[in-house]
Amino acid sequence: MSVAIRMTGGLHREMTSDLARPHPFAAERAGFVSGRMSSLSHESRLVLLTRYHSIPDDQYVDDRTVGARIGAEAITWAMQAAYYGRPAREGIFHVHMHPFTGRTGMSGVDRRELPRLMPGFQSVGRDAAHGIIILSLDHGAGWVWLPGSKEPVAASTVSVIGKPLGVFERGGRQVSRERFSRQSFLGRDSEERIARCTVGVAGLGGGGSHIIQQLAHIGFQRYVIYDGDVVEESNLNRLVGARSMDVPAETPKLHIARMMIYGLQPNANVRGFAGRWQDNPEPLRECQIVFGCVDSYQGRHELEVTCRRYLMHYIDIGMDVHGEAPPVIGGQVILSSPVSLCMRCMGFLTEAKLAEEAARYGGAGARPQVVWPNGVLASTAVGLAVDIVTGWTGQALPYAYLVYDGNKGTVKESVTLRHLNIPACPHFSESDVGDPVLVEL
Amino acid sequence: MEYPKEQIEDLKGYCSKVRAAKEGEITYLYLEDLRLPAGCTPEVCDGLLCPVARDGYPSRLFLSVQVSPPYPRNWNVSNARIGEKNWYVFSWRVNLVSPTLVQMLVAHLTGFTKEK
Repeated sequence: MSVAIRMTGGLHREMTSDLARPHPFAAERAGFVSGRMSSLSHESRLVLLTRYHSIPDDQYVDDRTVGARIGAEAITWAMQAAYYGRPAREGIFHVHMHPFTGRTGMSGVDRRELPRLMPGFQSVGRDAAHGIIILSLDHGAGWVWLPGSKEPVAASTVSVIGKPLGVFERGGRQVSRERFSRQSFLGRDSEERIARCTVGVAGLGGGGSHIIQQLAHIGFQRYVIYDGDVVEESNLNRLVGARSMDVPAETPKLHIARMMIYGLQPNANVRGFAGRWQDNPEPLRECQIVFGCVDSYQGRHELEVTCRRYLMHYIDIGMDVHGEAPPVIGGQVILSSPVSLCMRCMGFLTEAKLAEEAARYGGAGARPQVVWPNGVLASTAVGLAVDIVTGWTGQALPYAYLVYDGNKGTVKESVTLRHLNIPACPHFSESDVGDPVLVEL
Repeated sequence: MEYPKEQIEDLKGYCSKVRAAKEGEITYLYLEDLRLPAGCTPEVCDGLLCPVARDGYPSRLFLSVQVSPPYPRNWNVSNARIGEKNWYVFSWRVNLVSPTLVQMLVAHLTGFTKEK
């Protein structure tokens, strides 16, 4: 049994900026954050943090023997929040910050004082997970009391789904400096950041095979990948890693992807599924970044919905060839991050497109596909992912819609973004985070 | 999105439990143990009624299994993923003007019993 904790970059900023404020007499600040529990594979759990609750100055008790002591009023408020969070199985986490960089953990006072809050939270929010989160200036750690449990589970990771991405782990990870010496411009600890990130790829065909190859070269170590198809003759014009002999052998595309990864990263952790992600969805939730290399708009919509639910960055790629004199190659790379603009906001997914596809009974058919546009789109997508993980460009924009013109050989920002005037995504809300909540009527 | 209480009560005549499930901008109605028309196999499955326009249809009834009805149907979305579950739906357009929820449900279920 392991537990992971995840939050958006915006929530992390809100927490750290509040907790860093000086208090009139307390040496540090504390707060509460709501978290919803979801399931991962192998009975593991994912806690998705949703809302931060600052504790007002007057709800602290003046006790100089500890960094901060909060009063009964604040604790009562937290218990009420746990009570009202029952329908969504939303628990309460005590959070505070240690003002230094590097790994952090519970101090002696933390270990003595904070667990005392948990029985109260559990008594009112029985089916929720509750716990403790401690942040440092660049790290984080958490302890989770699962429903009915008297002892906490130390979180294996605390992830911040922002830009740059933060994946804080309990253990360290050694990465070869020499191997990545030519990409050191990505940042001082970029190799470790890349190695800690879990990436998902749905679809390992023309686009997905390129993405897998580049992710492995860059140094990604943790993969969750899906494809139920085997190599066919018509795939050989673009499926990176496939050989002629894979056609009569009916080699699964999953196997091609595994071999590509292991050939470059022999110690990688690859969880592969010979089928649709929808039939084995829980492993996908372990990812911080998901690449969608699927044919249909419906498939893209479903991937985006699940990425919003479980707070994951979603990067979509797709290409199309249409017209005849001459044929026109087009394509797109889209980044859709939690809380930020979605594919509907950016004008890519529309009801009209979904309706037209449904009228065709969902089938995309055998559409024209060719290797180099897939390569351009996959390279662009991997570039976005590396920027998310390392933050090397310094650009904070949490969304992207890049349009490929295969006839001109250009990749440009979509003109629809220039005319967007949407301050926040109206299509997904906080209630869409976590497992679906069924309300009896 | 809220639905009239009396219409929800009427829906309960066709299933064991009605629950609301919101995803994105749509509030679906989860119909537990929905009874299907005679001749369908299975006779009971869970349903998910989308009372608003989606995929170019004015409303849709998703089912937890691909039902074998008396007449062949176009199952144009096999494995739609809604509310973290996989659903099935066949192409059936309900063109009633301002139907109640029960009228909408019955019109979708009628799709199983018509030859064309």
